[in-house]
Amino acid sequence: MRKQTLFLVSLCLLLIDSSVGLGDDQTLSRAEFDQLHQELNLKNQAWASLPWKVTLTEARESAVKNGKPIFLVVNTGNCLGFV
Amino acid sequence: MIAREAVLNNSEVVQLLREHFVCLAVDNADNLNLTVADKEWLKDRGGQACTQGMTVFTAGGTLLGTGGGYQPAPVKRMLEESLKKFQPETSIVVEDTGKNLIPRPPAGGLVLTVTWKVLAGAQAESSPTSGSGTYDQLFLSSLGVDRLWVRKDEAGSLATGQFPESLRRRMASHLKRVLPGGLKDDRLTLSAGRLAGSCISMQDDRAEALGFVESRDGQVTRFDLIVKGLGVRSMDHGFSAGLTVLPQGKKVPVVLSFMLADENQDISRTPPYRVRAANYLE
Repeated sequence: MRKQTLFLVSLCLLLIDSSVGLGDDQTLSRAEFDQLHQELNLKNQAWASLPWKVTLTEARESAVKNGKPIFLVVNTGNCLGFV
Repeated sequence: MIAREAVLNNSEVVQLLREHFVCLAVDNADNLNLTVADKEWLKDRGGQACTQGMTVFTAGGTLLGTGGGYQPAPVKRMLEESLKKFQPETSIVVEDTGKNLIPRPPAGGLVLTVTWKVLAGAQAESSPTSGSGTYDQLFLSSLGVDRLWVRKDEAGSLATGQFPESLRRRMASHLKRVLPGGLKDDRLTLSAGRLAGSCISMQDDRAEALGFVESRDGQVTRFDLIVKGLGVRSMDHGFSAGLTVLPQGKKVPVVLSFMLADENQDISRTPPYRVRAANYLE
């Protein structure tokens, strides 16, 4: 009996540990959509609220106009996009 | 990606940047938002940083600070010290080094922001990209970001309640993040402003989608689509954000979104990664 229980527990753990698929009944509800929309919205990322410029020329023009220095981030990939 | 999450989301760094700096981000590998003249101009101002770097300079080119890294404190210090040195330049004439050569979203079209993240509850498995454990949690909770451009005619179709095939195809490359092995079957339908349905992966996993498309006077005013599926570990130097640290051999719930970007924000002009392909808009 104890061996059987241990076997069943092990089997359950194995199943839990393997892929977690979306069940047939798992659709995306409106409530879940609303919650995920907040989590995935770029507007809720602090870095995305900064006054980024997309080209060097525009950044320099803005710096002169506003009397500010330029902060540059250099990445392999664009830090504002796919990186 | 780590710098964006760890440094550029830090509240003190963000406040300093918002109040005192003009911010610019460039790609030192493929240079989609840099011209040859831009690269030359930036050569001694941080433009040659390897992998990642941050600098501060004036519009005229005076270098005020160098740094970078994945910790907010040294970057904050660099910003503060640069500000102490800064003297506004009033007589600088900025030559155009080719801003019109940078790829721009199609005229009359739309820009969609594409984001994705691993759903809460997943376990991280470190990789060399995540500092072999140091940044595992940062990766796991991070928001991956890309863009998708929509042609004018495609936007027009959306506004009349149609979901064009060419747009479906362009979206498919992003769907791979929630569909292991890529998209096999797209069953999304657009009806009465509701975009919903399933997508099936090459491995027969299913992703569920729900979204809304609204228009006014022939213009799309809302495009929100969220797709919930399964993601697998992706070893691409961190470009896949949270998928970088997923456990090997497991499929984990991941969500992906397409949202209409704010056309009034410069950041919306950041080119999509795939715009490098000559047939991107076909």
